[in-house]
Amino acid sequence: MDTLTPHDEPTDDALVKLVRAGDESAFEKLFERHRSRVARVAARFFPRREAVEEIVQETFVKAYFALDTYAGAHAASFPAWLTQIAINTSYDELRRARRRPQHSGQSLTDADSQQLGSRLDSIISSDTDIESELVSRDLASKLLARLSAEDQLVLTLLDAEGQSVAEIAALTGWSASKVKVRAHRARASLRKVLRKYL
Amino acid sequence: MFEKNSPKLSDEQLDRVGRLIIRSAASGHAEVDALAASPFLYTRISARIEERRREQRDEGWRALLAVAWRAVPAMAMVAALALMLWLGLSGAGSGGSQLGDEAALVGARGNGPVSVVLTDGDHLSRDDVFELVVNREVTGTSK
Repeated sequence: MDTLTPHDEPTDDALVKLVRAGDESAFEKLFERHRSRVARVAARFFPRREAVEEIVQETFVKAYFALDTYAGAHAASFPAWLTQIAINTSYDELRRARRRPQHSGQSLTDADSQQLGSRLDSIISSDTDIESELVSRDLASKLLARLSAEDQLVLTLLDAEGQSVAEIAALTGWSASKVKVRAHRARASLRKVLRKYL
Repeated sequence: MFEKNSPKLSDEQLDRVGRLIIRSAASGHAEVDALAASPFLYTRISARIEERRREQRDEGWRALLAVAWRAVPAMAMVAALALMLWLGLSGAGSGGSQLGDEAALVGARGNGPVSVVLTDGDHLSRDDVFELVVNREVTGTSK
């Protein structure tokens, strides 16, 4: 029977069918299965806990109301479909965040700038990619907030998520050439920002 | 703005720093998993779903009311125009309706005696015409 996994657990597609038929508890099962994945995607873009929680909630609410558009495993697996919603929700939130007046609160103070400069110097002088707390999360997110939402999205997907150009194109709905151009521009923008502190 | 006069760095060096910064900006897995395991997260999602459903229902009613709000004055205007037209026609006199009766009578009988009587322009009353028709029909059937 194709609707059951080897452990007799209903598959995602079977649960989606149940939700469509009005079984709300099936949606809770889908949430239990995939909430970590969605939270990890959100955490790539937002360092603050509240922002991550907001993205997780919004992603599942959007998914619930869009279940009728989910075509099933033959088009894309449920996790891939949900990840796409999570990324789009994060992207929307990044764009909204840039428009908010409190976005200016993300600007670096002189103390931040000095700290960042010395940290970046130490990264440059070391040959290895040390991922430990050389740059604090808060400082790093303040630095990235200087980039546009598109730049943040494409660089995060490339460098933090390790996605390929084709995968990013599928996730965002952009063409592969647009992803490449966007990535090229995003790297140039980030270099420009970094040069100010190095 | 704090800006340093540092030796020129290559694009590769800057890209490497950039990658590290992007990775640093993300929350740690353990922290994220703890957040995702929050027991009230699904409760909040359910509440939000319910709220959106209610909003959608309200929007449906609001759209219906908006349509009615526009349609009612338009329909009232059409009704007023129709009433004015009807009053105008009926106010044109009873001649109109009399003509209608005569035409119906002629139409029902074809080109028989009634049409002859009517087109003669004789001074016969409608009752006289009707009597003539009935008499003719009675004599016709008796033959």
